[in-house]
Amino acid sequence: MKGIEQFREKLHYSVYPTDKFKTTTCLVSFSAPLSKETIADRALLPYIMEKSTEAYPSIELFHTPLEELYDAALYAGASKVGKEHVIQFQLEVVSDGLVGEPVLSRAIKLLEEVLLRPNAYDGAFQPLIVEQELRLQRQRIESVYDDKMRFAQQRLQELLGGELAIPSLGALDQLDAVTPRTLYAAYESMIRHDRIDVYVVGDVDRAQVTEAFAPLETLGEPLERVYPEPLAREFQRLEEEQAINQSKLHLAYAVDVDPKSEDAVRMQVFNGLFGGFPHSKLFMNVREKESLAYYAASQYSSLSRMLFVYAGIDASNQAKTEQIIDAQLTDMRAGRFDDVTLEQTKEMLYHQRRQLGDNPRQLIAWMSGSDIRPFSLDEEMTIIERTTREDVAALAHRIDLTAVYCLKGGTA
Amino acid sequence: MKIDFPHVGETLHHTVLENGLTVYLLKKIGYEKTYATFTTKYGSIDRRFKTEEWVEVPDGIAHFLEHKMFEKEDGDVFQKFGQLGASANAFTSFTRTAYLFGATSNVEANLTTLLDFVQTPYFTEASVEKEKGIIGQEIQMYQDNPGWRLYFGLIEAMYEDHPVKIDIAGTIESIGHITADDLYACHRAFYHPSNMVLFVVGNIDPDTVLEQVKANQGGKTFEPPVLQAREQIEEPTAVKSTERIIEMDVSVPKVMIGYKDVPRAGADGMKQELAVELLMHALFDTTAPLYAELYAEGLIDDAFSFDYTSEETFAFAVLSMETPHVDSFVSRITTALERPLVLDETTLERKKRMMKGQFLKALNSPEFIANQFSRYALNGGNMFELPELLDAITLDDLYAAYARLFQADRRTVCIVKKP
Repeated sequence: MKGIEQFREKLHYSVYPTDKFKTTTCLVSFSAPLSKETIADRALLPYIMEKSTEAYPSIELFHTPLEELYDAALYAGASKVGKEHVIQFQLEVVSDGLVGEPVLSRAIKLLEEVLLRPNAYDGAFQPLIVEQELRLQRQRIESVYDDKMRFAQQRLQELLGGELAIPSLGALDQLDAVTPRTLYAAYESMIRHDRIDVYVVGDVDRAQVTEAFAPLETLGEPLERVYPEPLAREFQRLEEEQAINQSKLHLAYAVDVDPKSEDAVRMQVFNGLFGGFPHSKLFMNVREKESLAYYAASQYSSLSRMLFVYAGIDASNQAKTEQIIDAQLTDMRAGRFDDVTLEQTKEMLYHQRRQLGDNPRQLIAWMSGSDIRPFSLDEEMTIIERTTREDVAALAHRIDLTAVYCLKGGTA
Repeated sequence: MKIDFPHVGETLHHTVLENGLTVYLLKKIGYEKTYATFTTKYGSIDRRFKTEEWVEVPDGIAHFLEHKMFEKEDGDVFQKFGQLGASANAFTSFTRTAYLFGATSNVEANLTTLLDFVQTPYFTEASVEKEKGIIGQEIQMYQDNPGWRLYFGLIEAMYEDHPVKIDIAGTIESIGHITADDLYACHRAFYHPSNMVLFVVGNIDPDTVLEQVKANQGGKTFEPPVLQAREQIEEPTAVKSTERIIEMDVSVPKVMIGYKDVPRAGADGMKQELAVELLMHALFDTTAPLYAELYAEGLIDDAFSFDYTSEETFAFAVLSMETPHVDSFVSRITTALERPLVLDETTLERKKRMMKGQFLKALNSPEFIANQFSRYALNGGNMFELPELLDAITLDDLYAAYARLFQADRRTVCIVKKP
């Protein structure tokens, strides 16, 4: 994307100055190596930090000034990204010019309160808030059961092991060990030792950004990014039953492609043809031709070196659906797809990239991903353009089915 | 006609063509993408209507028709958009069906494709039969979704006769009765240009796009509109039943409290919608006294949400929560809403700033602009007047909304829990 400025003070900044949006969006992201031992504390931390601070010690007191600032939206969240655990604080405010008030600088002050002066005392967060949030976190973990697609994907990832198997919210039994003190320790470790990246999109310039975030410059360490290792896996199959109407068939394929290579970009072409778009083989055959499913799709996760396939089907059609999915991969390996479809896939991938700059959050997501991938947007477009049928067929040979999970509708 | 909206920093072009089609065009400076929606005022509630005579069609047909519009004699329209680099989609609501695409290239060709495919019905018995399997799976998927079951369980319990109570996709049984002839009849009744709105927003030159649309529409002939009447429903103000329990294997019980409101149309409808939304923000946001009380008691948290739905012929407010303590949650909320309202100017002003901010932020999104503007337009309102309408709302409006909406006989509670 032209116009993105990336630079390093002690923190790493990516800034996209533009006046085309009604908003200014800032994201401060803290990354640490993913570990089973710290995830329960780190996953809960953002939920606690976003709700109150030392100076504004309740949700009510903290959210009131945010509402005053034309609903300055301050969200925190945590996620797994490959081999790292990332805690993000996002601030989205209406542009100063549109309301004639210095909304941004005031809102950034509130973000600083969250990051630098949390609602903690003597090395511990407020016990009452922690107790509430622990209860809620247990409920969040339990309610994955109620979203059958997420449930099935989680079970599949447990089969796969490694980073994928670490539950992103932590496990229920781990929460027993989480206390106001362990959370504060996780907070201290986060602001001292994590890698900190700052992203800003809106009507700002570099000087304004560095000045606004100067108070954070004492934090963090410039950690090198860590990438997951490829993992050798035995093929596994697991079927479970629940009292549901629609069965969820989830497949995992190991993809032997380095996430930093050009092939990882070409894999997007493979994925688009295989199951990424409504013109893909999975959609056209599982849904349109055979009427077996409402959704049948694939998703490529370059960092985990995995391709996932999902379909919601009738339990009696499981074997048939698996056969059809397998036949599509065989076709891909043999290069059996027409030129029009290949071009159509490329067009869609160009479109996805060209529209990135129209949405501040998408733009920030891309900027943070571009720290991982070594290519610019234009370079990616060129790699896609030059991808041939032979490239795609060759990639299809580097994809192997490694796990099948089916949550079956039944009498259970 | 060109209208400036300085409050929101946008300029809108508005035209009604000779065939009755309403066209809105908005240039978003600096955007790469163009997004277009072609929307008909036809949704799941339109199951009885009069053309030459009164017709009753199977439940779920508007949604079924939406699916089938994409299949043509010469192939699938999705593919045509895809080859032109556009990403296409469609959705059906209670009152509208919208067809849409987003494109960063070939905008002219994509727009022609959009106009042509929506105005060219092509249905065969074979393709209608095939779709029943796909939509059947869509219905099954929603049947397993506790949130969806809860929402429709609530509406079903709230409404005596109004067809809003029917699931948008229908049932496997009802869609089983749909024929190609039914689809043609619905298309003829509801897809006339005079019943539709085209909205194009993004990287466009409005004059050029208008010329293109005029030429496209001028090159087609349409019979005069045949839709003479839609079913008028006499819905009582009280709810049908006050409680509904749905048994499902869920880990945490889920609850919705619904309040049935009296619908209003046009600018009055917009004003009522804003007043109720301001009121609900004042009562239920994290900064509200009630929220703080319930949070301290462990009865409310991030899982709580609220929403107000307002269309020409129905309106209702919904409070939603997941908690093991469903009964305490319901009793605390309903008791609080039986007390007299206490609200001050400071809070109202803060809520206005907040809603204004939310609205302005949403205007980053071409999708929001096209979809929501079309919704307001089809209900007789203008979305860009929202900040001014918001300014005009008074404390009295909120007191009036409170007295009207939160009455015991307008309340339904729906719960999804384990048997």
